Amino acid sequence: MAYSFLKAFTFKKGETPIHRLHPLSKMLFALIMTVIALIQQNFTIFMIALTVTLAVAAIARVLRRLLQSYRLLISLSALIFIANFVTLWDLDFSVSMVLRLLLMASAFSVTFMTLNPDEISVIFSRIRAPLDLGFIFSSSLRFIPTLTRETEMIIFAQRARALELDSGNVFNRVKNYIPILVPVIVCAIRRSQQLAEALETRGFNPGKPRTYAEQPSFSLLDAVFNIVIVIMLLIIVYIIFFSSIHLLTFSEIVSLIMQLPYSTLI
Amino acid sequence: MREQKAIVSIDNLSFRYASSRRYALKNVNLEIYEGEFILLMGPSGCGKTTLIRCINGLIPHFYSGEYSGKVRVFGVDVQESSPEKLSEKVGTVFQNPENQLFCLSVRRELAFGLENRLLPPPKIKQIVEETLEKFRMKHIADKAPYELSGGEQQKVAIASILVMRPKLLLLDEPTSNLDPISAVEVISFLKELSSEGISILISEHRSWLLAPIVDRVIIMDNGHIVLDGSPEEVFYNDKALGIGIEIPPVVEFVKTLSRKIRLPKNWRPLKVHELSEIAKYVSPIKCDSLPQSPPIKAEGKTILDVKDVWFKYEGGDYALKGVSMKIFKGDRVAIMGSNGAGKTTLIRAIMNLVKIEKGSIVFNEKIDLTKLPTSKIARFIGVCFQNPDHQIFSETVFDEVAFLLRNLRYPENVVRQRVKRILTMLDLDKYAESSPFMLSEGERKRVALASILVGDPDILILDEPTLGQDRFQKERLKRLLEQLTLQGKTIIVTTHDIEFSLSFFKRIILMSNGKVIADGSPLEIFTNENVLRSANLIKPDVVKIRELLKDIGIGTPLHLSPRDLALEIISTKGA
Repeated sequence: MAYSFLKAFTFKKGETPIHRLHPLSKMLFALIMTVIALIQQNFTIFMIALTVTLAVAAIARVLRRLLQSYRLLISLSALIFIANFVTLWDLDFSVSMVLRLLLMASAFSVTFMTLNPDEISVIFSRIRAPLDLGFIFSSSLRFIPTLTRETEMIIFAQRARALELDSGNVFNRVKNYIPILVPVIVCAIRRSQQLAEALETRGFNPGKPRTYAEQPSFSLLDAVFNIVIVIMLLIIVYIIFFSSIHLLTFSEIVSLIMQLPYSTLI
Repeated sequence: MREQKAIVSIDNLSFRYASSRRYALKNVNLEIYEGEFILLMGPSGCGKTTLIRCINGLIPHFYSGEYSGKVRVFGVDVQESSPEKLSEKVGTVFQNPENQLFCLSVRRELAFGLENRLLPPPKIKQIVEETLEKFRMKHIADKAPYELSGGEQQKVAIASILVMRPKLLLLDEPTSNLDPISAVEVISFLKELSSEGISILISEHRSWLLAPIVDRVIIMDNGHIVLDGSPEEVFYNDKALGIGIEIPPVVEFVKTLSRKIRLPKNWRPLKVHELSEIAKYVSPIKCDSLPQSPPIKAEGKTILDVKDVWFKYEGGDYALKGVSMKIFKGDRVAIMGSNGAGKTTLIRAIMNLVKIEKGSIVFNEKIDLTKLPTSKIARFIGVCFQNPDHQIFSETVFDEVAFLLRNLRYPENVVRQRVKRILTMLDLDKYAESSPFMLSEGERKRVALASILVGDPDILILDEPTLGQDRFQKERLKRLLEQLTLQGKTIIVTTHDIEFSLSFFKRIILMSNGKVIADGSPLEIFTNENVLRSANLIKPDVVKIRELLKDIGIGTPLHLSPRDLALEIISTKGA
C-alpha cells in the first residue's frame, strides 16, 4: 500500500556518517542529483548517479527501505515508459524518462530518511526563508507516522461498517474512498487547529526571530561529502556540454550485450 | 488563603463563539489566588474549555466571537495582550499529548518554548538539562513522542511548558486519553508541582483522582459557575449530584449512609482511610456466607469462541499471544487492561480486519470468522470504534446511519424504516437532516453508535464508549445497553473506566501484554491484588472502601458500587 511508499520518506534515527551530515549537505545532495537527472539523458550517467545514490543509502543503512519503495514505482515507471515509447518511438529517451524519475525519487528518499524533521526549520532559518513555511514543512514530516496510523484506523472503522474498498468498476472504486477521505481530512484539520493552539500558548511567533538550542555545525565530513558531490556534477556537466566523449546509451549497451547490430533496436 | 493576591480575576465575563448562537460563558466571575490547586468540573459543553481559553488568551485572539466583561491575568487585561505574551506567565496543557509535541526528541521539545523566547543556546541547554534531571526524564531525553507511553507523553508536554517557568498552569482534561495508571502518574506529577508553589487549574472528569489533593473545586454548568469551594463543601453539596459530574466514591458512600442514619454534619471525608471513623456510627453486619457471585460457566450457547489467537503487526512484536475466550449469548463483558494490552487488536482480529497468524475465531459455533470478509461479518457483529470522527463522513445524520444498511444492500424502504427507529431510540431524530459535523462530541458519539446499532447485530462491540463522556451521558449509555441485553444481544466493551465496568458488567476479562490474564466477576477480579498488579490496573476506591469495612470489623459486603455498598451495610445492620 501507499504506506510503504511513505516509509521511504520518513526519518528514522541513525548513527551513520550520513545521518551526522549537516542538514544543508543532505539537501544539497538531493538537489544536485535532481540537477543531474534533469540536464541530461544519458544511460551511463544515470547509472553512475544511481549507483552513488544507492551507495549513500547503503552507508546510511536505509538501502533496504529504499529498494522496497521501488516496488511501488514499478507501475508508474511502466506507465511513463509506455507513454513515451508509444508517442515518440524512442527507446533511449523512454528509458531515460524512467531513470529520471527513479533518480530523483531515490535521492529525495535518502535525504528524507536521514534528515531529522526538527532540523528542517534550521535549514529554513539558514537560508532566510520564512519560519512558518519551515515549520509547516517539518511538522508535516513529523506527523506522517501519526496520520498513517490514523488513516489505518479510519479504514478499519469504515470496513467494519461493511464498506468494500475494492468492489465495482473503476468509478465505483474511487467513490468507495470518499468515506475514508472525508474523515482523514476532517481529522487532519482538527489536529492542525489543536497544534496551532498549542503553538500559540508556547510563544511561537513566525514573524519574530528565534534561537536554536542545537545548531548543527559543518564538519570535515560535510566538506568531503559536498566536494565529492559537486565535483561529480562538474565532471558530468563537462562531459556532456564541453567534451566529445561518447557515453554508451541504453540501446547501445543492449546491442553490445546481445551482440546485435545496433540498427535492429531502433 | 484568601488574603493572598488574585493572579486571575474575571469580571462578569460572557462569551459567544462566532460560529454559535449559544453563549458558552454567561456572567462568569472568578478569582484565582496564588498557589491554589483548583479542579474544574462540569458536564460536556458546560464551558470549561472556553473558560481556560479566556485565561490563556486564545479567546479572543485565536477564537473570535462576542466578548464582554474583563479578564485580568497577572494584572494584564487579556484583551490587550496576546497568547504569546501571556505564555510568559501562563502555561497550557491540552487533552491530546500528541498534538502538542512538535519535535522528534524530548530534549528538543523542552527547548522549543525557550527558543521562541530568544534565549541564547547555552542558557537553553542548561535549563533543559536541569529540567530533565529534576523530573527524572533523562532516560527518555532522546526519544521521539511516538516511542513514549501516553503518560510519559503528557508528562513531557507538561515539562515543555514548565521550562518556561509559568506561574499558572492550565490543564484541559490532560488525562482523558490515558489509562488509569498513567493518569495517576500525571496527577502525582502535578501534586509535586503544586507543592513547589505553582498555581494549577485543571479540568478533569475523574474526581476520585483529584478530590483528595486539590484545595478548591469549581463546578460549571451551562456556561455558569454553579459551585465553588473546598472539595468537601462542593462534593458534599446536594447540588453537585444534580449536575452531570462524577462524585468521588467515598463521598457517594457517605452521602448514601447519611440519608439513612445520623452522621455528624461536619464529618466529610474525601479519602478512603478517613472512613475508619465509620465504626462509631455503624454496627457490624452479619457476614452471611452468601455465595460468591455465580461462576461464569457455560450458560447457554457460545456465540463467540476465540481460541489461541496469535497476531503480529508488520515490523512489531506480537500484539496477541495465544488469546482464548468464550463469549456466551447474552453476555455482558468488559475487556480491560492498560494501553497496548491488545484489546483493540483483538477486536480487529474478530472482525477479520487483520489476518491472524494462528488460532481460530468462531461465531455461533459454526461460522469461521477468519475466512469471512469483514463486510459479511458486519451483518452480525457491530463494532463501534473509539473516535466517532474516524467514521463520520456523510452530509446528514440520516445518511450516516443508513451507510451500513446501504452497504449491505437493503431495500431503501427497509433502510428508512430502520434508520428512523434507531434515531428515535437514541434521541437523534431531531437531527436526522442536520450535518453530523455540526453536532457536539457527545452527540457525534451517539451518531456513531446509531450507525452500528442500525444493523441489529447479534454481538455489539464498543471500544472505549465512555471516553470523554460525562455522568449523564454514561447513565444514558448504560440504560441503552441494559435495553439491548434484554433483547438478547451480547455486549462486549473495552474500557479503562473502572466505575463503568464495576457497575454494569457481569464479567470482566483482563488482558495484559497480548494475553488474557484473568476472567471473572468484577468482585473476583478487583479484589485480587496479584491480578490487578500484573494488568497494571489500580485498585478502585470502592474496593478499598470494602476492604476498610472488613478491616475495622464491620463485615464484608458483596456490592461493588458505593451506593449499594452503603445500603447493604445499613440494611443488614438491624438483622
